[in-house]
Amino acid sequence: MDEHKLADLFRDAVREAPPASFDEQDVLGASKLATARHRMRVATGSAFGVVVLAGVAVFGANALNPGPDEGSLAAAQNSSEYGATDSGTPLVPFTAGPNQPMPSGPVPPGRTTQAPPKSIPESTSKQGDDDPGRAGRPTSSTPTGCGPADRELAVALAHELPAAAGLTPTPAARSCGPGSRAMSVLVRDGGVSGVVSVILGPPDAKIGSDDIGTKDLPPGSASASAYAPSGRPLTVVSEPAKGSITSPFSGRVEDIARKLAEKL
Amino acid sequence: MDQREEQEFAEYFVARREAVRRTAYLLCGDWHRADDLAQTAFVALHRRWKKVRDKGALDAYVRRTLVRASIDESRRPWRRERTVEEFPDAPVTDAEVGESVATRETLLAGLAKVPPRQRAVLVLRFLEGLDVAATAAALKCTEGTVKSQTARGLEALRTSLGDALDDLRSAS
Repeated sequence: MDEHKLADLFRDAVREAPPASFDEQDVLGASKLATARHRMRVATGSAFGVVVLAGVAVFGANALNPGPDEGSLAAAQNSSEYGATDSGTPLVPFTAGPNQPMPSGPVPPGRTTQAPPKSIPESTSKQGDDDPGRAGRPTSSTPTGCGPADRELAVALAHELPAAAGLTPTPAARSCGPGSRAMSVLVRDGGVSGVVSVILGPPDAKIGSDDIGTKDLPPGSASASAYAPSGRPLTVVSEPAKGSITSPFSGRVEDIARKLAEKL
Repeated sequence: MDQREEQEFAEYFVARREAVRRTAYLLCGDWHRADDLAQTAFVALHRRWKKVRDKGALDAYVRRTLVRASIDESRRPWRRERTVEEFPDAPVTDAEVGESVATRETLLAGLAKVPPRQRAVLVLRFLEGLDVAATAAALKCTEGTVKSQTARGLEALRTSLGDALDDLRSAS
């Protein structure tokens, strides 16, 4: 049998076709309906996409920019979850203690009614430096008036005392009269460390008075004074370190005071 | 679509509706389903009428849509084709029924056992009269695929018919 006879068999099988159950209007109606459904699906999908994108944008904005209260509260909560700080200090619950009465009345916006917890540690410096503003010596019960560290005196002292060269001068923690200029530097004399101060007193001050930096010297201190050509008294004080009674360069304070007074 | 395009589609629909219905009938073996398949193909053509630039390729587009719809229909669970030992409606070959009717029923029953893809190739080639290249273009496959599908489809048709149609034994 060839392909023509097989084709005849196929054509004979469909020769008696019943009337069609659809016409052109049915096709047009179905086409319009399908097009409308397609547009509806596209619109629905687009709206869903816009809603999802808006939700993601809002969530991302909130995640990247938390409010100040939310951030601090979240940080406190996170710290509480771990139970202790890095230094090992155990944390207490984030509540006000009995000695911390709760504030009453309206609370300003952005503030909470709870007092800050005592257990939150202060931020520690990662640089290994000392407390800011401390000049190497305790300043309690020490009269002020010596002013800021005088750089000219520091240069002159470094010239006479090489051990003080390159060190950072600090304000002198001595008793100075008005108009005085002074500086101090923490030096090391072999195994002895201490503070050497240079005070250029006011013009009307006299050696032996209390306003040239020699008042209330700690035990073991050494001091020497000399008049500068301008008539101002110049005093060099060497104080031992805390807990020691030996001051650095105690045998040279007179020589240093004399030489510095000649220059100033 | 504008009025002119609607008129063009109407003319094409009238000219090709019966041919498309017959092809669909041989693909599925049921006139009701054939009408559904044909209508699906014409609806798809109407929605893409403005995008079909080559009006000479309309027949190929309708055939491709028809075959795909038939295959998709056969894959649906409630329409999935199942192979049975005996035909649900065995052809009655008594003297009151004409020999042509018996032959038609036998052929349709045999075609129902041929896989849909191979059945589509046989219908396009022997009912539509397409050659290998045109069939490959209509189905968007290679000519080698059409040849292999034709050979396998004829073999499957011979196997399913057995000795019912002696004329198919030597067909290739």
